[in-house]
Amino acid sequence: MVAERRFGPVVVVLLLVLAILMARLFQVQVVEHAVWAAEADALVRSSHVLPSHRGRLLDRHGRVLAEDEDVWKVDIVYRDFRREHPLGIVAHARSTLEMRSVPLSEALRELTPWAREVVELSPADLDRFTKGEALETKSIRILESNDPVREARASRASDLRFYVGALLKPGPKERVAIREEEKAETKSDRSYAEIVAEVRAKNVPGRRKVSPEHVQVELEALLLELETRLSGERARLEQLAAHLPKSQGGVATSVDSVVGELEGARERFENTAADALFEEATGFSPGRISTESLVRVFDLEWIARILRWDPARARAWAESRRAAYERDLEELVLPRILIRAGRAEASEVPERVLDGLASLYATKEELARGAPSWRELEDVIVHDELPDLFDLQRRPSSSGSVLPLCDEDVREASREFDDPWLALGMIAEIVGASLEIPAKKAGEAGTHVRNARDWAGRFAAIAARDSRLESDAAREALLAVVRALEKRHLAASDAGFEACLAAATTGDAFSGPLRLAQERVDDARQKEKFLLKDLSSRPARLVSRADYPLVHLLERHADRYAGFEARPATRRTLRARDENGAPVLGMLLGGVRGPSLREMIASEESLERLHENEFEDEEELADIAARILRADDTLGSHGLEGYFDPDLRGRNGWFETAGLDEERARGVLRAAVDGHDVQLTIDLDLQRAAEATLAHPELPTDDPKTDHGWFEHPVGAIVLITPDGEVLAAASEPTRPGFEPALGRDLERSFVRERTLTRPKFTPPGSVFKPFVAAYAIDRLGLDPESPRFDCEPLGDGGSGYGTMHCHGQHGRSDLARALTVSCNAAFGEIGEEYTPELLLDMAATFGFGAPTGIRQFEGTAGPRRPGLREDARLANAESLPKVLTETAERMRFANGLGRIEATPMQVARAMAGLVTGKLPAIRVARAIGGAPVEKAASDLPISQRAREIVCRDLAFVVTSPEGSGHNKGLDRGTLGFTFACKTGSADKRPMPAELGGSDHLDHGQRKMIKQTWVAGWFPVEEPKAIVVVMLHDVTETSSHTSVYVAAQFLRSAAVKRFVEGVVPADALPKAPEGKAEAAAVEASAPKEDGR
Amino acid sequence: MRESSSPRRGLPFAMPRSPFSLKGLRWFELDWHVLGLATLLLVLGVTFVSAMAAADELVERNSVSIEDHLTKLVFTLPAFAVGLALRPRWMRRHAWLIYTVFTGILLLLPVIGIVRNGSRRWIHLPGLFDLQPSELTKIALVLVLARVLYRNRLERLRDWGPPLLAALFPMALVAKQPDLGTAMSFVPIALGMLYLAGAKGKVIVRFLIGAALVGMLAWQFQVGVKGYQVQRLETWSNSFAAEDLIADRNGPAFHSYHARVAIGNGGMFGTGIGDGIANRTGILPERDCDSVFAVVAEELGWVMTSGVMLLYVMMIALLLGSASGIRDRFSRLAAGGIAMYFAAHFVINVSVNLGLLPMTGITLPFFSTGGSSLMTTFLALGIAVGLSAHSEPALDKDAFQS
Repeated sequence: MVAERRFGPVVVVLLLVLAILMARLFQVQVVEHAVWAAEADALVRSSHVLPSHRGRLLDRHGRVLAEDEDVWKVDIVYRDFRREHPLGIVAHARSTLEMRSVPLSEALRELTPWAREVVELSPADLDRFTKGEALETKSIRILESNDPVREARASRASDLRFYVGALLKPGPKERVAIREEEKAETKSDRSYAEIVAEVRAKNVPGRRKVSPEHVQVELEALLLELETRLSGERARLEQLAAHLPKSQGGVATSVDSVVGELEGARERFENTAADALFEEATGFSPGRISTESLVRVFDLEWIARILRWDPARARAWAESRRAAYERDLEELVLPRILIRAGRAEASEVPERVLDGLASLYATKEELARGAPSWRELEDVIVHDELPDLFDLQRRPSSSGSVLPLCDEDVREASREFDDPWLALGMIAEIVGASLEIPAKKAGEAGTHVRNARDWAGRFAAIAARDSRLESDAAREALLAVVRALEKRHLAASDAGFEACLAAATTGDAFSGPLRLAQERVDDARQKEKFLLKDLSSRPARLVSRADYPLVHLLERHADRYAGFEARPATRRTLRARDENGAPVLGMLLGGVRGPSLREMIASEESLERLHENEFEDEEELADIAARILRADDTLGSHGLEGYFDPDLRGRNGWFETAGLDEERARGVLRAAVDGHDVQLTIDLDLQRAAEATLAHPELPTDDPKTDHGWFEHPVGAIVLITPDGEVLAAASEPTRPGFEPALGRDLERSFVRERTLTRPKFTPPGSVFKPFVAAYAIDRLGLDPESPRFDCEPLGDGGSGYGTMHCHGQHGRSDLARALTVSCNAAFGEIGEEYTPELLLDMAATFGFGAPTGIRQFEGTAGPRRPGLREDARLANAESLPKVLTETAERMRFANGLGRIEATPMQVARAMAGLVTGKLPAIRVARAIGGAPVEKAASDLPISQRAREIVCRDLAFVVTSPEGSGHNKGLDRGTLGFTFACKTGSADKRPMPAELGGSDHLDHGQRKMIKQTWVAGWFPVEEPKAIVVVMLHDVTETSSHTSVYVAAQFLRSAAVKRFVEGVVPADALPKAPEGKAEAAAVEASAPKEDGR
Repeated sequence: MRESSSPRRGLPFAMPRSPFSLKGLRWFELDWHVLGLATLLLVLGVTFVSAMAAADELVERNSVSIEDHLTKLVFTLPAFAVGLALRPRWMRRHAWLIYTVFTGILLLLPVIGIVRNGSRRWIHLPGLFDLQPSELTKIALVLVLARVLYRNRLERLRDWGPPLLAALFPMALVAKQPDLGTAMSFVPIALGMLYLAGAKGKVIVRFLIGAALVGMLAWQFQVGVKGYQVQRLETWSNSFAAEDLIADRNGPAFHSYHARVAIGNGGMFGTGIGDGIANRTGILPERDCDSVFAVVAEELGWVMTSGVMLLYVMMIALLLGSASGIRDRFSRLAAGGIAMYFAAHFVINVSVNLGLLPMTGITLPFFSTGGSSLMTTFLALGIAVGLSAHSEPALDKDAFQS
């Protein structure tokens, strides 16, 4: 038989095929198992950054100055709002019916009647609607359709079924009844509400038979329940609005603004969804082509159908795409290209910029394989898709090379260039890029960058100035090139679309837009569900810091506020504030900021490496994880927050699970490590006292010569340190912005600055410099302190002094003690005359002037970059000083702390500590970091004990001697309760303006001057516990009429008294929370305030 | 053999005979091995669909419903009885009519069909499911080819014309829908039946080589193929190496990639039913229909999946064996053709999922949830089993010849 001959071979072939299939199955399942299992794991990989908490900043007694506070933020999740909130349900059900984006405000107005119309639809209505028949409700009539598929009626009906369910919230039995009715071959015209009502009528206990009246009663009850639920919706939204933060103008948030926020979230989601659908289908985003082409060439109806848009909404979307793309290009894409390029080696930067441009024009497929080098870019986005973008009868004619980036000649030529920027320059010239650079100075001509060499030169100059390519100049230059490239790309795209239109035209002119190839639309629609779900699930921030009542409302009544989600977050909070709410320590404490774009890019690269498992070992993993930043992470930007940021920030962790198999799934890879607490040396009470003193200086009532203007508009600083260099207080005034500058003074009253470490303006120390000059002179110049050798005699101009050095009084003959007590300028002019320039500079350096105080304790050590704690340590024009000081007059002025010498209050304080103790301390503002005590440091002061003791003894006279500049100013033991020794100082800065009584007239040979006045001293004199420096900025009178009063006010404060008595503050924490080491550090230091 | 003992015999006019007859069915000659294997495969299929539905319920997805599948089974299982009861002679006599009806429906599809996923392939059956006539057309093709080849020994070149035309016509209509995958599944059925009918193997091999060459040229020069089809071929040709497929996973190879991931993830012993990545993520497109093999392979692993494939092939082989024993040439060719139908679906579906053929939509009988597929499967199985058990005599000459 034929069968016997034929069936056997077929079976054999079948067995052969089976063998092949099994072999292939073996290859995929067994041989390649590891590859595919890894891919499978990656599909269910769940990974996220584990945020670390930033450490706290504590004062020396463990009191919190700044910490991360747990707060709540409120987000809108539009998907939840659309599916679960009655307003979202009704608005979208209505949009589905009307095929227009029904505004939420309109839906809110019509909430109850529209909801009722939805639940009064019947399964039969929706079946007929699906088939193209008309659908009528009380307020809308949808006409019958010849093309129900085109009108997406099936999916619209499906959506409506969902919205009906979401409104009615049927129980299990009711759901079954609805489903049965929907599946029934012959459907009754019972509405969904009636079906539910019938089930409820049947389920009334004890009822055996259900009459139509029973159903009617249940139906009315059901509709009443729905109406009651919906009628309270506006009130609920009002309640929500009442709990939202007020607007910038202080106006309470209204329902309209809540609805506006929701509408904004919806618009953003829908625009993004339309972008994503278009890109899925075409391979490029809609912004990559001209608005005209998008509107004229593309049939966008399929997107409009999916999103339930009317033509006007679809057109509005299409018309906004190009502008949105250009905005993103300018604000995000180009800075990213530049920053990525700027991270490369200098010689590689030009190529990386070109690679960045290539990635801008690469197709999705190319990018999916990794960002291409510009030398390998082959397919240009849009143009590569053009041939089979539409279902055309004939293939559209294609243009040749679109961009010079892809031109082989350009690539070849670029290999020969000596200038690495010339390739970019040549491309810029070819595409006709031009850039106008305005002249820097008036009268000069601007530059017009146009040809390749100019462009290369321009980029080279920018890179030389800004190697990271972060400047506006870099962005503007690249933007000019990209704009020209875009122009060419758009022109070629438009031409391509014209060719497509021509290919679609048969006979007369083409009458409508082109439909995308069906396969492309199908592909996009396959992913539609995932795309829409993903995009609409992304939270949009509504409130960054929600109050408790708002969080309570949303958490307690989550069912009423679907779509509004309260999520926990952290926020840096400054705990210690003054009576005006300004943070204590202000600018010195500093602040935090979000990550910069550069940091985010570096973080993204780290994330990519983690996702690709590109780490060698645990150590490298920790390193990569540490570099990960989240958008809401905070980094110290300035002040102490900035300087101690590497310690405070800690290290974010990385959590990852991959795969479904629990044994195979990876758990925590790297736990987050919270930042260290940094315990400062600052004493909060002393700091508050210093700040209060500067903010509210008490006008001396018994000194008619004092400067009333300064006391009304104070600007200055107070530094209090321990003799071994710990900063107890560092106050600057003003601490709040917005003060009007005082009459005749400079603008410093308007600025919040840190003034203890910086010199915003010319800041000579004046006579507080004299003790150091004296001590050094005793040792090195052989100055006899007991010799009454100094003459302060009348000068020819009516004033008194010595040589060219005027003095504020006629002191006659003095020894060193008197010279210091009365602060005689003539005496120190005489000493200055004896100094050589080198010795003067050596003297200044010996006491630490012109050098950092050491407060930046990690300076010079390896480690992370530490922004913050800016210190103006160096002397201005230090290089020219040896020459300048060859002039006697300059040396005389220098020895009086005038002219060429400048100092910060912290430098003066340190020098004074050196004088008092014989050791020049390194200033420390941190006492312990992460529980580890910070080591103190000091260097021996090369000044003899004799010299120091003489000068210190003499400085005590400043307060105790009737001639002393600090005598009878409230600095005596009787007033303060402890002894105080100091030196006052006043440094002329600029002529006094007329409005403050200044004139060209010379009074005793001198003009009236605006001054910087100082007090620098220590207390108690016998057993120094602290060094204090007071500096007043822009005063009209000398220190003995100004700064001495401020110093006395501060030293009289209760905080200083307690400090001197060694009283531990009542609110001091018994131990620090960060382990025993730190607790030990606190305990060891807190009770003992000896400061030595 | 007795023709019949019908009382109509001798009547002055011919009464229309019923197409169905259970009386002539020799129940003890039913191929219970085939039915047993088919039942086993069906139970396995239901088990997998049930696991898919359970996984969907767990994560509140609505893509697969076991209730829907069971409903379809209830409605389509009678097709088995219909096929079983169909009288061979009636089928032989009305093969052209059946063929004409189904090709007619294919012709009418542009008017009465509904569009889904861009193709107009379905007719809506209210309350049931959407019927894909091209599936039933395959059975009609089997019957008409059996009818054509009933007396045609393919000895001369012109003998090839009628069967090829009969096969190409519905193929062209299906390809036009467009559904190139289903259209291509007609090829092995037709060629297999031609071989069973006596066509020389060399000729069929040459035909296949020629068709492959034409296909290659069409692909190379992009003549007669649409852009997306070229892209699909290119995607396939780039999908053999794992790294290439992974690189294209977010592009056109999306479906192939996820099928391969699922299969590869199964390993030697599988993840367990319902515990595969395909079910847990739901990301594999058509996992309850065209890609169901990927789910089976992932969750059973190589050992068990090979066993299932072996069962499948055993069932086809038994069908072929059963067909080879039928004396009536029409019945023998029809039963053989149905075996080829199952073989074509099995081989193409598995090959597509394994990446040996370009991605195309074709069901795996007994496993896939499609209503048309289930109906065709049961009808075909019923016909094939019934043909070998019907007691109607074969009057053709071939019945007595080797």
